[in-house]
Amino acid sequence: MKREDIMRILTEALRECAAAANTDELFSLEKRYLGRGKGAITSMLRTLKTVPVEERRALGPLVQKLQRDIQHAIEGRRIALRLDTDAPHTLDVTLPGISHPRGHLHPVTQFVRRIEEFFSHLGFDLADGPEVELERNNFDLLNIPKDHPARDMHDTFYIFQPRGKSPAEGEARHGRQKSRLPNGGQAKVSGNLLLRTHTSPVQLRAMESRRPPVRILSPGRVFRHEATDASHETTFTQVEGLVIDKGIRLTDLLGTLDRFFGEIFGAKIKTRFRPHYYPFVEPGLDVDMSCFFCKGTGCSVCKKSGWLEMCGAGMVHPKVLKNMRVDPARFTGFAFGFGVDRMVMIYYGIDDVRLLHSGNLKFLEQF
Amino acid sequence: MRLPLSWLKEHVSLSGLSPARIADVFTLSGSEVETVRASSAKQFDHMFVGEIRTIIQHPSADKLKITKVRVKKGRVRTIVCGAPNIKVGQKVPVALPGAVLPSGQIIEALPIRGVRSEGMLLSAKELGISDDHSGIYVLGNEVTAGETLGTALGMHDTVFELDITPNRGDCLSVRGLGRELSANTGKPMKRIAARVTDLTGRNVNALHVRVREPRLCTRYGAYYLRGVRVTESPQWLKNRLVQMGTRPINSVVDATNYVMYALGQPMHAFDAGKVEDGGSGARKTIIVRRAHKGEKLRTLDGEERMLKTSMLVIANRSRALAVAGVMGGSESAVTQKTKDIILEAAVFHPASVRRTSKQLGLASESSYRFERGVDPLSVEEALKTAAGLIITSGGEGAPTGTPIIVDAHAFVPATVRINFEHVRNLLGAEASDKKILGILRLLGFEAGQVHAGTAIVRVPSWRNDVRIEADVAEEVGRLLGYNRFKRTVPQGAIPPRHPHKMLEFVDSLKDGFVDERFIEVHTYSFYGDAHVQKSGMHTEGHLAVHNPMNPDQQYLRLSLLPRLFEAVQRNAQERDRVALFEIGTVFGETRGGRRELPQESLKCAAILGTKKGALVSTRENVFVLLRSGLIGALAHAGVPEASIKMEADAHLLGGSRGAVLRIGKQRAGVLGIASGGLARSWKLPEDTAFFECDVRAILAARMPRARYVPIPRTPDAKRDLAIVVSTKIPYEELQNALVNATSLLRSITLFDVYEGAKLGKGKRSLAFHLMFGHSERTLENKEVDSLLLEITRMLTQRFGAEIR
Repeated sequence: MKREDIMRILTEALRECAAAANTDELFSLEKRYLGRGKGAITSMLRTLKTVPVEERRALGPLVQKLQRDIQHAIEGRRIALRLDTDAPHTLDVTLPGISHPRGHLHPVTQFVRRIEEFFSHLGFDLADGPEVELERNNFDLLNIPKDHPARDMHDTFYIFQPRGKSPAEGEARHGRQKSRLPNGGQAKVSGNLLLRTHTSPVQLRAMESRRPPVRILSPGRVFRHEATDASHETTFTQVEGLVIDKGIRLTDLLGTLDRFFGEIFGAKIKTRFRPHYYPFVEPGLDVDMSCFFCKGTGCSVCKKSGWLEMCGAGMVHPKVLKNMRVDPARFTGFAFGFGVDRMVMIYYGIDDVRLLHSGNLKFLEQF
Repeated sequence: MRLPLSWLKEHVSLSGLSPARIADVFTLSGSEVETVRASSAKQFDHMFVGEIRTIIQHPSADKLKITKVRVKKGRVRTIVCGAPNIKVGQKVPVALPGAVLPSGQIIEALPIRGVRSEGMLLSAKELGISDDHSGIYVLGNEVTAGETLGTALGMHDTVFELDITPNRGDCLSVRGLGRELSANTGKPMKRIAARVTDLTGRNVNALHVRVREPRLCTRYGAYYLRGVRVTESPQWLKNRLVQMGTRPINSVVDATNYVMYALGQPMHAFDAGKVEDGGSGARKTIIVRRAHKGEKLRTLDGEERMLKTSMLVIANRSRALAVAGVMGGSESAVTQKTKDIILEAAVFHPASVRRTSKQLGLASESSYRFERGVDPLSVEEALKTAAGLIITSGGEGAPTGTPIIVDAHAFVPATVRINFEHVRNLLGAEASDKKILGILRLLGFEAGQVHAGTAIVRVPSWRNDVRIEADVAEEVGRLLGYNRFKRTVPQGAIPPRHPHKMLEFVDSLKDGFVDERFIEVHTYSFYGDAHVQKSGMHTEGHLAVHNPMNPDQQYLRLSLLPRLFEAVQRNAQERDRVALFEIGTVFGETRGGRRELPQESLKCAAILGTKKGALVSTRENVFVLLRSGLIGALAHAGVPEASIKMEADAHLLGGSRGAVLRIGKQRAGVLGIASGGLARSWKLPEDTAFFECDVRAILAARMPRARYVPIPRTPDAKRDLAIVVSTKIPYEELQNALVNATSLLRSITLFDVYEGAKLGKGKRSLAFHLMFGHSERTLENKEVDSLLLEITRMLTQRFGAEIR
């Protein structure tokens, strides 16, 4: 066995390997060289045992290297052959994936979760309450007395109390036709049941079982007696927050909401606070956010003002604190409330609020 | 509330303030400016004041006249006109060729019945300033021919439209807004002395006022003017009213409206001739009383109103003349023939006016202001200002009289004790006592001595919204400017948390349905008769909405399904599979007590609809698919499948077949396949299954957390078993029998269900994977085989099963 022989075998094997036209030929080639029994290299390794020790020392590594080289060549060729057969015909990497329809959470649900998450980090607890409320909880206890023009800010759906005893003199009776019950009979109307116009009654209810300090967030469905169009809905989701503690200041409200809008709409958002009137807070204010679309330069969405009205807020009115059995001399608090539907519309650029309750899958599948 | 810049300028110095800046000041101090309309004079291009010189009959048209109108110096135009009210010498609006009317009509010089008309004389409607089209809009005499119409009508003016909150009745006047602007900018208010005539000293004292309801009318002011000449108002006054959106009527009515807008004090004018004498020599008497039972009054809008005894009226000795604070009666209205008038300026009870206005379904600028409260100290000023305007407009006559003011309660200014530290703490703002007092002074408050960090402040008569310390703090805060405040977060410790189990469960249930490829929808909480009928339900048990705006809002939902069916119907055309769910509140009836709320409960509902052919086997029917989704969603929320029992029921919605779901013994919901009737009425896909259950009921079955069960260390031995049994045997019974057969059976998986002709009628084949195992050792094959044999024997004996 000579060094030249080894080199010759290697050259020959590499040539044959390159010439192999398919995996079958490659397989027989592999068998011929590397086969366990009769393979050429295997026999060489066997013969090596019979040569003198010094020669073996020199030739041994050469043969082993020969075996490795041939193995690598065969593997390389095998991959090349497979790519040759597969690539041009069966693998189009640009074909679209197969889409399986997936489930979707309603965009309002998704947004409520974002809101809840922000306030949960600040230690707010969730609270909820009934959607049909007593007039007393929706208005009177919130310092919105009967026959006060503040009630004009809340167009209200009233509910029949079919077996009500003596109906209270309610707003519902003013200037409206008597409605008919399904059975055709005239019903006694009691103004004291209504679809809540805000989730503020939840705060009153939550405070029945809590003492300050409290931080409460109440998301929920609310109703307004309004004709619907692209920007008006009878039904929407509101989130309200309430904080009561010793030493709560108006600036705490400003800071909390400023951070909130930054978190939800992006750090570049600016907030602005305008005095406004809500009977259950004093001072009361409205929160504007720099326009999400034009970044404050003025566009059709913000009516050229650069600002979008997002939220009503204020320091809880002492009368309302008293109605919650909280001593206004010891505690102060702030409250805020906003419509989630409006935030969703702004965030995703939705131009018709009615889509949110349409059940239109082409809409819902986008979120 | 509209606010013309030129009018504002009469009340407050505006030097150096641009309209944009003024709008900002209002908006950021709480009176939001909704729109700023810059000069609208441009729309009056090519329109001028013309003076009619001659009028002759059109030769070939009875109803047309040919006028010569002087428009510009020396230039007289021929204009054909058909209006009945034109007279020589009138100043009228003329549109010359090139003018474009608000309606879009372009004026050209055209022959009309053979006479060339070089323009057009315009009515108020054609000008776009009111809907009056009865004749040409005649301008006041003080305008000059040739003047541009934009100038003559006062249209070179910026008009703000403000949204005034219900607490700020004082901002419903030009003066009130002037005060706001002045306080916020430091610009001084102007004293308006002009146009106020004080007639005191020529007192005839021929009027008597009796206020019978001092609670509902705390102050009543009347001014009896005799010998008044009722004419048209001067053009500047008409222009103002048009800017405010009010139609000019005559010099008396216009003056009362003008004063209302200027000072915020609503007024009324009676024809004194209709307030009859109480006999010869007696004084005329005005009585402020409640309406009598059954009393009627025809109001100025021509409607006959039935009054209630709760309503306050202004009356003479025999009958009501006006609904107090809401609207006057037509009988005593001031007309061109009126000689003597009685002007009224009063303070009526806000809630009473509001109640009356709502009950009559009649709102006016006057009731709007009374509801929000008026300044009791402006009564006399209003009477004098209006009288002055009327006399000036009339130009002649010597009205006589003096204002009579009847005070039921002498006005006492409100006071509030403030603690400066409280104010600073509530706001979180740094402001010295001096700064705080300075701000309050700007707003018209007067402060007494500061003592031990407190002071008593006297609230101005026009601020009926400021009554407590927090109100005062708001005044301080808004003038300091909230946007200059630092922004902090609450400093106190976070209160103990109370997780809301129900809301958390709802969230995980929603996630579960989404995992099962369902789409969450939100539908309305109301529906109508059509929804109820189409869904095979009854209206009984529904709560009804008292004031629905359309038939789809008649009832509060008792089930989520009707609206979900509707949603499926909307989407089914376009897709093979519709899978929806909703979690929301439904409403049951009250038990009837006054303070009783309806029974509200949270429901979860889902619908799965598929087109025919989309399903492949008996096993995969739509019922099973929806059940699978439901089980998956419940598992996600921690509710094990085993906790829910399904009881066959063939009388679900609209005769649908399916199951009643029970948790423990409680009926929790339904799962069914939509009946043919239901599918037809809602145009549902061929295969539609529905589900609805009570969320609270399934929450009760939730495992609060996963419990680890040790993984068996010994291998499973798997055997397949296929049997043919009667279709009358429910799967559940077979499964129970298998479970009870041997404790070495680890799991049973049904992998095929087949019904077909080959098996014979009433038979079906069920195929299971059975997993056997022993907790201590590996089962030997022959052990497993003998277990299987035992099982098959048991199935044959008990259920008549054939082994396949």
